[in-house]
Amino acid sequence: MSEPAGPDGRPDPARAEVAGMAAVIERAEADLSLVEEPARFAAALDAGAPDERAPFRSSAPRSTTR
Amino acid sequence: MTDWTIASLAAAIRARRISPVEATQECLARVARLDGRLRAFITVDADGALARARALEAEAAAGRWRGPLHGVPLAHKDLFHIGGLPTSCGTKTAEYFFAERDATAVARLVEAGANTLGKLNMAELALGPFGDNAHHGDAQNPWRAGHVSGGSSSGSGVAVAVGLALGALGTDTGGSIRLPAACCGIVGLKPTYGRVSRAGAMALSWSLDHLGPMTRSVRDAALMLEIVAGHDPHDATSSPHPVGTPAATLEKPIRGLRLAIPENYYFDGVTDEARAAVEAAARTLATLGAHVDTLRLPDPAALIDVAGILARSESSTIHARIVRDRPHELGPAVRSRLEIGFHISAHDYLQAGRLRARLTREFVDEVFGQVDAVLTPTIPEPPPQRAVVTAPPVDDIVRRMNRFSRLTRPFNALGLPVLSVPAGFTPDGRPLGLSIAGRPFDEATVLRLGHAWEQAADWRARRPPV
Repeated sequence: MSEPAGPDGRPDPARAEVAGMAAVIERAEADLSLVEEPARFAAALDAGAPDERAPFRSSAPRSTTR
Repeated sequence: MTDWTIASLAAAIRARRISPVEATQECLARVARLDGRLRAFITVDADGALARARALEAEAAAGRWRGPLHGVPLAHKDLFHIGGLPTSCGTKTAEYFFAERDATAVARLVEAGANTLGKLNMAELALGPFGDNAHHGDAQNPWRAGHVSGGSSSGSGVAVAVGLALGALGTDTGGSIRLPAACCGIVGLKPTYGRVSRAGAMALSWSLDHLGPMTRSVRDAALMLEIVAGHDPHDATSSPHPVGTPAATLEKPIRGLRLAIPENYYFDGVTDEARAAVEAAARTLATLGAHVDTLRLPDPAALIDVAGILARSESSTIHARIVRDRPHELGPAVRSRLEIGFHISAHDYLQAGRLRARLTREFVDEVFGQVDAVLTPTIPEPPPQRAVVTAPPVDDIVRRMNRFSRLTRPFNALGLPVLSVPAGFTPDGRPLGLSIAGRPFDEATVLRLGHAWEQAADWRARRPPV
């Protein structure tokens, strides 16, 4: 595979590095659930914490009553 | 000052065996004697530190103790806003960064009685793992001249290793606490993402930035963590999870804890010395009752790429002004790394954030369903010669940077707590590092394991030949 080129047609290391990193997106995005969101990263940390859960911020849905 | 730890000095001050003024004067004298060569500091606030020490001494004489760090001299990476002192962030511009209030983590240490000596050297804009800095001088490895001190919290590593300060705060976006800790033979803790407020600290990548302590002992790291951790209304990403008292559980036996040595990635291309150091630590922890086994980890290479997309996009956004308006002020490798962010699409950035969530969930479920901690080398080789790794061309420098930090960066994407502790020395005296990674918000367990290893090993008695 040739190195990605810049506007002048010459090999561009910056674009090559970006293409290399973005390949992980191409491989994974078909499997990414529609409900996946960046904020679920924090929820994953909360869920993996030992013993207790966050007292103020919960990853679980909250119900309210009126 | 090289024989004190934060814990022992704080106790000695409380017992009136040494005064805050004496402790501060001793540190400042070492700075004056050694730092012209070591380049750990960017700003030394000698007058301010002595004035504060006299006030702390007067309070102690009157029986008023501010907290557990009363009179203990600390210094911090030069990207924390501290009123009255410039914040260069390692750039040519003395006052590159300004915040509305003092960095929360520093303010909490001061409230606990710590005395801030000054601001410590760092890689330009916290971008670089080798400790070189064209504007403020290269932070020198205290164990072996001419070799890298690690970065980007290079001055923090050097100052603590040689007793210029008893402890320091660093930041870690891809290894910037753990790499200099390993290269300088000290302890460095990257806590869980959100554990320590980032308010008042220059951001490099808000998704990946972590603040944490760099100290001479694991106990000191636990003490500093207890003080700086906790929710902060000035940082929306700071977590409300209670930190507890990890220093109080350090002596709890490690018998029964399950430890993993990765089968994949973490030993690829690692030198025999770095590998042997981790294996020796694992054997020692096993003799103390831990269960050690090998484990195949979810693909760390994917985490590296996800972290790369997030870090490049966010850092080029945050520092766009200097890249576009004053690029000539930046070192070529720093400029190159920042410019790459301008080429990343919104699509890839957003997908990286989504993928990170999934990879983190999978890692936590798969790995911590089986073990309590993962052991890896911190650095893939002993600190290399600075002139070799910083030699042009720029593309080669960037490749060497990426290689040197390849073992630390996956844990920034995962946000997990990782402790780097000294793991021994090469025959020519260069330090090696052991990393202990744990489940989210379980700093107590990684600190307990690190303490057990530290007590069993004999590295604590060694001092840099400065």
